[in-house]
Amino acid sequence: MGVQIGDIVPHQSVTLEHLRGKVIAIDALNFLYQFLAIIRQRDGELLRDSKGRITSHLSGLFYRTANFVEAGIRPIYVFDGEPPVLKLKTVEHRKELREEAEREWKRALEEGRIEDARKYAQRSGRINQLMIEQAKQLLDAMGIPWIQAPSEGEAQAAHLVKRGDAWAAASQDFDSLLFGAPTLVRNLGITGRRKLPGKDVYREITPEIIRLDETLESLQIGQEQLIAIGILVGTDYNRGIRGIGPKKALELVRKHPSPEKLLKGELAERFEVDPLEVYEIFANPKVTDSYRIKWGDPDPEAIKRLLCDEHDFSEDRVQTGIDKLLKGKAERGQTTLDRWF
Amino acid sequence: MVRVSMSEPKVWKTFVSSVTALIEEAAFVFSPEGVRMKAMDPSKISLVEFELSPKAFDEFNVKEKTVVGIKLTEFERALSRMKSKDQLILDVDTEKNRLNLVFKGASTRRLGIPLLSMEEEELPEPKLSFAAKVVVRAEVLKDGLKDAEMIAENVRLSADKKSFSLTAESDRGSSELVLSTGDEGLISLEVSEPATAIYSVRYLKDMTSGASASDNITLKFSTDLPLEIDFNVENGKFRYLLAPRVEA
Repeated sequence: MGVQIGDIVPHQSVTLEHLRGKVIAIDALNFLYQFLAIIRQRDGELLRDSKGRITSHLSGLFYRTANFVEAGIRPIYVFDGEPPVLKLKTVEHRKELREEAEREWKRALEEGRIEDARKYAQRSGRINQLMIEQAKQLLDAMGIPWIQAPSEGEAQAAHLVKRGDAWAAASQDFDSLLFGAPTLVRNLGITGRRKLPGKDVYREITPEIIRLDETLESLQIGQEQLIAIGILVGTDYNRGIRGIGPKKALELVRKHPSPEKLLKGELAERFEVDPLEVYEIFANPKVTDSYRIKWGDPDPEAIKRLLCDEHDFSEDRVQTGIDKLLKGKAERGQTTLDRWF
Repeated sequence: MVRVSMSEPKVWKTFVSSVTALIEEAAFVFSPEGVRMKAMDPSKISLVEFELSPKAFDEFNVKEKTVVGIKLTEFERALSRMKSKDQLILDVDTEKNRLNLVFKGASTRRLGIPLLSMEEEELPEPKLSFAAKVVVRAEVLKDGLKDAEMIAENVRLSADKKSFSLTAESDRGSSELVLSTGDEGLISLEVSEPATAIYSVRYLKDMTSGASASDNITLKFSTDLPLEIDFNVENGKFRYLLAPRVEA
């Protein structure tokens, strides 16, 4: 979900090739949820192994990551830690939405409405602690580094980019920009041909690059005002103000550049939580400098044990993924000319 | 207006097919001084530069500087429709936003492909000084690369005051090309200090594909620095830069 400001943010569509050689800090939970939404059978049912355990998240993580690595991308996955207290309400609300979607899905299935079933099913996915542990185990076997964020994964990913340890943060949400990530990549987890919901139409989804400095320049505002826009339209930590969308919010922050005066002014009583507390989450996020990033070698035996032996993945397909990882590893030494500019 | 014709369009065709492997789109700059093109591939591993003087053309009718943006795969496909004895005419139709390729031979055929709106790019130049400058015969280098391709994805170039070598090694085996002073295939060798670096075979093959067997290719490199390749063709020149591979 995250903050919805896509309408006013300029982006550049690129191909995976543009990202060759780039280190990208991926919001792990954001990706896992995307995999749960997309990787489903026609009736919306998730992929499962012979024991009935969900495997959609592992399938997405393995094959997608193998594709990234083959394309010369160097991914780092960043996992969420303890969410800020203000997020608990959102978490609770999302849980309700998912339960509601699950009920609708089952009903649609009973009534034979396959398209609806898939639509609702996509909204019902739940990632639990076990799935997160499985994902980390799989990444270890693949030789892909992952980092445990103290709080929000997106904040930590943005921190990695700010420190120069990653070239961009990857997430579907724009929150990374509010957390100050200089570069954000969207659509990385869903690049490819995607069916439009409810229609028999496919479209090609390509990665989008969004640069914070260009965004601020095109909106003619600073980082503080961007955060204020987010708070006005709504974030994971507060409900936005009814009737204020991104464009209206942009007008407001241009008129009142001080976030404190704007959020604590006449609009103050229209927030259900203290907007300055939300402001603090973005402006001074809880992040850590103690992490280690190291790309290891993929361990084919461990990968097959996990995916084929444990979860009944096809040995042939997994081998194809392993080959991509090995190919990417061989590519790792390729430098780019910009190093000498 | 831009209208040029070539009765020997081989250079042009070879150039387009050799850069199509590296970049997707190119901005050709036509001016009274000739045609030039400079581009970096999207992944920034290689840079390509190409210049052709008006002398390479039978007719060269270019009144002012014009940037012609083209999707190279389309250009290559259109060029492949040309018969071997055809004369090639390139004609830019700014009104319809097309590049027309006219093939004159037993008949006159025309293929129009869309122009892309592109600016001439100001590309940064890497700051490099090279320890080794080696001039070799193209066929010798191409043979060494073909050998290496059987063995590995990467090849090591090394040069000292006495010799230049190109070696590949993997669990599939090993290959070696050695050129020592006095060898027929080695035109000149200037080395200020021994240099060695690894480059991708695939890129090297694409970059040298525009040279004919008897052309001389100049290679400039230093330890773990980009490689510069240049060679002249009749009335034109090619220049490439390729980023090295390092032990990861």
